[in-house]
Amino acid sequence: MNLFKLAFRNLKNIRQNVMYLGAVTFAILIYYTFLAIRSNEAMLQANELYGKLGTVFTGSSVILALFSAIFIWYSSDFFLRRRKQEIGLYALLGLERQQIAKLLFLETMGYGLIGLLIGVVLGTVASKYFVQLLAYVMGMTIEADFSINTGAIGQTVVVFLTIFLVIALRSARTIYRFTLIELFKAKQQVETIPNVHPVLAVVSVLLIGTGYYLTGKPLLTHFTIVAPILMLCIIVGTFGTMSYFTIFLLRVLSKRLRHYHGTNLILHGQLISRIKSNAVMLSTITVITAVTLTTVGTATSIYYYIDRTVEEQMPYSLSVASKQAEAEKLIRSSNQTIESRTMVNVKNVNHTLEELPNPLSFTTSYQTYAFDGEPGQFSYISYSDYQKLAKSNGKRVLPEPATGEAIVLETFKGNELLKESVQSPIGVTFKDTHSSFRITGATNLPLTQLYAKKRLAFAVSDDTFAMMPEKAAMLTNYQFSDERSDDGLINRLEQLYGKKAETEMAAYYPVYAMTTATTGLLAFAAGFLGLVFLLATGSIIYFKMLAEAEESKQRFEIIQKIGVDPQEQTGIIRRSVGFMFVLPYLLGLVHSLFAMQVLQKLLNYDLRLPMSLAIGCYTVVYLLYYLVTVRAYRRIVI
Amino acid sequence: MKAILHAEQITKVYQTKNARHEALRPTTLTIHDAEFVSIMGPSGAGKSTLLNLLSTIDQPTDGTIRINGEDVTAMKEKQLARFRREQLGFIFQDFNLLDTMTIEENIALPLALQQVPKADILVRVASVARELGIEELLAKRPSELSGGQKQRTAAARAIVHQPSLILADEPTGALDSKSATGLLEAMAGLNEQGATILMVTHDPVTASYAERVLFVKDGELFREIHQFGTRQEFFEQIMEVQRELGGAVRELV
Repeated sequence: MNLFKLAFRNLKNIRQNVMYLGAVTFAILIYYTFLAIRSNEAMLQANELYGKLGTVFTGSSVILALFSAIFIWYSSDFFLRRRKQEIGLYALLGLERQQIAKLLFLETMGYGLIGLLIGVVLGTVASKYFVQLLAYVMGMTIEADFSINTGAIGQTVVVFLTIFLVIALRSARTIYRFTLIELFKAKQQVETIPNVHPVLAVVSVLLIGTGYYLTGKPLLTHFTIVAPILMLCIIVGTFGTMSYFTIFLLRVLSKRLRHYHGTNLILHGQLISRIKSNAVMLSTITVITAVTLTTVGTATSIYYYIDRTVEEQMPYSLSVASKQAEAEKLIRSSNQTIESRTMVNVKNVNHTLEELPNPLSFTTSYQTYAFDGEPGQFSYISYSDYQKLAKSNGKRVLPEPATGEAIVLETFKGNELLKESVQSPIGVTFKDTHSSFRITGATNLPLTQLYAKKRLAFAVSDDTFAMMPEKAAMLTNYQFSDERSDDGLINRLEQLYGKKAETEMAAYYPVYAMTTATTGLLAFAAGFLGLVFLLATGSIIYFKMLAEAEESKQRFEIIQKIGVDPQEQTGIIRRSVGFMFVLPYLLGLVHSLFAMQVLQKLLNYDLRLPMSLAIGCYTVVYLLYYLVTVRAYRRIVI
Repeated sequence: MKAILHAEQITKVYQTKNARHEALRPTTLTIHDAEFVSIMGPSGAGKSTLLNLLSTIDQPTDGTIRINGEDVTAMKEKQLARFRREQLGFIFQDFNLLDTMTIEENIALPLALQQVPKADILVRVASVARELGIEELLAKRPSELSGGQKQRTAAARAIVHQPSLILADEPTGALDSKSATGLLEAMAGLNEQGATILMVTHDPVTASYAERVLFVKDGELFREIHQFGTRQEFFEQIMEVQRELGGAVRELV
């Protein structure tokens, strides 16, 4: 029998290796699906933005490829370990090392090819549904079909063949690294008990603490300097904590009274002996968990608040500054019904203030400030127009200001990032070229959403308004019954305004559609990557624990004989596997909560709900992994 | 004298689709309190099968085993585990110490499993370790110990909870002759103090430390001899029976 036949025979023994093949197939499936989504024809045609955001996907696919490599590396390590004795047997039976190396190489490549085939086929199916999901979150309707994408297949094959080549070479090398006796005794390594380094343990925890502290005020004041220091503190602190603090913790635990209670003795021994070799894995998983939770949490939060963001930017369905009659006609001929229409006469008055008093300085309105010798402008409307506007927007109507008084039509938001607090506008005085006003009231009534027409606006008494010498311009705002759809009205309006479309009209729909598509795509990419990270971390722990289970077989045999019943054995497994799962999860979770709290300050939104959603989903899948791992562990040792 | 263990007509049959193998033919035996009994026989005679059945690790196809008055053949898995940890002590050929724990913790394990308070555990462990001459080693790990020291640790673990019966499976199998002598003397000492020991071995020197030797051949109890004179005389007797048995003579030391 030649080597090819032997390798083929081993490949057919699929039951034993189903997990390995599954892991490999899964990695390929995800990668191919991702590429297929990126280059999906239907999506490319439906949305030109989609093509432009290709960089999001390219970046993500590089991360995915790296991840797949790490992931396959871990699983093949477990796979090899399991087969060490079998390899030893081949050597004993007289196969030359070179032949065994060739055999292992062929087998690894064989699994790679099978994985590629299944992965691409499943990926073709999966990508259709993922494309539909993506279209949904981007607010598009498209018909996705099962299309075979040669470009994506090509890239997948190249990337994964490279990965498999590296791993196959490494498998083949195994035989050269070990002597025959080592191959047979692979499972009887002497467990070394790690030393306790209390100083390093404390320093690590302090580093994390420092990192957390830095996310507060220091980060907000000196973002660019503090951010990298903070990251370094957290990452080094995490690795230190997992390497030193855990050992310290376990040693303390084993000095306690409960140590000699029931199966604790066995559990503590099991944990202490493994912690050193698991420290790197645990810290890696902590960092990945933190990154994943933060990414997914951020994406969820942004997606969750799209409506609010767009609403703030575009409070009306449509604002126009000229050709009111023609515009009205176009609207009437469209599917839209007008819910409300407000027309206000606005006078823009020059002023020379380069600095405005707090809180007026917080305005985001265009052209309010005087700058570089050019005058700034304030907008004024009459009290009568104000009343109309307030009523149609459902706001309480403030009393009419007297001469020399004004109502400011904007509310001001502070900026925590710049540590500037907002004072009340009531009582603040300001001055334009003609006269000065004292603010007696404040309300949020945007006059328009036309960027070029926006200035800080005030309502003054009808008499004061009438006496202003500036020419009044009419601004009209519409509220439509269904502003989130468009039957071509926007296009027709744009034709009406021609070149002036940008300055004379502003509609809700295009901004909404654009924002939904961008954030939807980002949320999708983040969610997809998050899912992959989650599955990868889960699987890494899974394989690591199974490798450990293989090595603990004998230990469980001993305790079984001594009289530890299966239930108690399960208890030991649950707790030792639980330790490996809970530790990185908890630390990663706390990391991400600190990161999210910074985001919350930046966005000024309450992120608790979207964050809880993201964390909830993550936790459920993680829990499933834990249960599956315990089951598999049990099956190996009991 | 009180019977600690009584096996009544126990058999073990391995039945597959097309083959039936009788590992143990109907066997009846009794071990009394404070006895030191050896089971001898050539490889494949059924010694290990017998020991596995008596130690409740394996269940007989037929027959009943009573240990300390309790019928262990009727017990469920969980009950059996509990029974083993409370009533039995084990010494194995390959020590079966947990390499993840210290010697002290290894010895303490049976007591910890029985939820004995920590203070009592430490006192018991210290006294047993002194008895077996390993009190210096308590803080070490099994991997730092010699074979003889490991087996003493195993012996300490086997007696720390004062079980009704100590079962030893080729306890000297992995030891050099000096360590073996030390261990056997220690076991004889424990027996003096009232421990009941059942030991399986194929080494006549080891067996000669017992008071009574049962010979197993082809799945059956073949002969039983008692020690009346010196250990040297008993050893000669054992050799004689072995010669009769034939098969295992070549294994002589």
